[in-house]
Amino acid sequence: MAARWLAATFLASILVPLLEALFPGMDAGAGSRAALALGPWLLLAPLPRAGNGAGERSLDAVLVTGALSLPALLLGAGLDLARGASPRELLEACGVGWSVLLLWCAAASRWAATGPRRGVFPLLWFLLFPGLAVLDTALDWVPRRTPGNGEKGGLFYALDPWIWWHRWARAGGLSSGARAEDLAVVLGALLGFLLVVALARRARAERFA
Amino acid sequence: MSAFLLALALLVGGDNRLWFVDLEVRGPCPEVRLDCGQDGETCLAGPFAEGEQRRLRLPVPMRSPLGPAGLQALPLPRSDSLHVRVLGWSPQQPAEGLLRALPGAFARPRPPVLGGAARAGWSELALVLVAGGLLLALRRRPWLALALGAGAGALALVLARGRVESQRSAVLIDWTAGETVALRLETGRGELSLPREWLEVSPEGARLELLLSLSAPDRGQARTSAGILVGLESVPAPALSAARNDAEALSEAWTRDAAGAWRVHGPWLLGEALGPAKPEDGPPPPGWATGSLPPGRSILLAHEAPASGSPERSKGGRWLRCLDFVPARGTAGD
Repeated sequence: MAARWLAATFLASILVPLLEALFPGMDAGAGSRAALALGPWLLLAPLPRAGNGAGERSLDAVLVTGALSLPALLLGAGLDLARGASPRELLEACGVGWSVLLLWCAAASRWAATGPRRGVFPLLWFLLFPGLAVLDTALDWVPRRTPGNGEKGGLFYALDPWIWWHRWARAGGLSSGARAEDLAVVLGALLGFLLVVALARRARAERFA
Repeated sequence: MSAFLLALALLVGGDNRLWFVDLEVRGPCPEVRLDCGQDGETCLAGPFAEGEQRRLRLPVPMRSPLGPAGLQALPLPRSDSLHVRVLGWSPQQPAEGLLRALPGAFARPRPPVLGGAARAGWSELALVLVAGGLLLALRRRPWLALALGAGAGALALVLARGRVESQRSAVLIDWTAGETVALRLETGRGELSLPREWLEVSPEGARLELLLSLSAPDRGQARTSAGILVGLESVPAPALSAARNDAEALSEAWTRDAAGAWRVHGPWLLGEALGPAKPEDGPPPPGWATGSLPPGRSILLAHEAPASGSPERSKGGRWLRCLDFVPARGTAGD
């Protein structure tokens, strides 16, 4: 990510606690502050942009994104703990969220470094980020599922980091304890990363052939 | 009739999350845990000795959208321990009795949870902002940036974790003059003493933990990681009449006549009669306590504010509200 994108995402990640400190009358709700800190990173860091990590080693780009996301994430985790969150559940959620961020960021960097004209990563990103989220929302509007069922579509939708993040960020979401969804979002990110790496190797082999 | 009352209560309040199950425990085991899935769990701290056999009645935080009538359709809470056997839902559910005794009181306005959740202080915010600037400058040295990010984050976590919630609960005793039973309602954020009869949580459906100990299985704590808890139970109505206050010293009292006009009476000391209405302007009654009250009925509203510096100051104090309260002649200020 370019420096200005990193700075903007960093500021967005700290915006909620900053505004709550500036305006004592403001309350951004009972959702997890750690989740709110990670949200901007999950939204902006894996965006398939030309120049997203180009010109630098993909590992470096991932490390810098991971480093910059940590202070706000851990500040939010501290606030969640002060509000009575379970340390074990919070550690699990933060670990899963941060790992997913790094994996998708690695996939985006790898794609940008090997040639942004190839459209596999943007397609994957489109399907697994906004695509699934839009599908989930759209299907909520038709009587496909049982009314009152709190589950948001199960494991299939948990492949989408935004849907997984939304479950965590809402009030009481930290204690919903959906381990299978945690596993699904990590596996989805890992498979996405491995696919991008495999395609990048193939493209490199073709170039040298 | 009870189904109608339940429907009414569900319309104006939230779902009850305090249903009782009967179970059998055979020692030895250190504790009893009842797993209610996504609704939460109940934990009764033991220990139960070798050879000990007890039959217990414990509350569980299950959701029952159809109230007591729908309990039989719900799966029973589970226990992983071989020493615990859940026998079934208790035939007597205290929530039913509360609905029957005080159906109208559920609909009246409730005290808000004062104070707020923990929020970041300027020290950790400044730390994070400075760390962010340094990390941006160090982005060409990613491993160093990662170490700095982790260090700054850990420090921010420790600082933020120490922020104490300005937790304040509020208690309201609500009754109708001439009746012997009142509704006691307590609100709190995150944690609340376990009521005997009815427990609500907002947002609805939030996971709840009920913590009890063997020495006092009918009293304990209700906890939720994020949300507001409301506990309701029936208590004896306070001994309060315009002629004499036999309940408790009250720091402020207001009355409303049937026409809807509020009057301020000032402090009302224990053992004394309600003072006359003050002709000068006093503090008005709080908006939450006066809105949506039944019209055409006289009302007393009083507040007991804990003394400054007392440990009770962290709580929002106790409110008393009596419907059909009859002020003594001359106290109405007419």
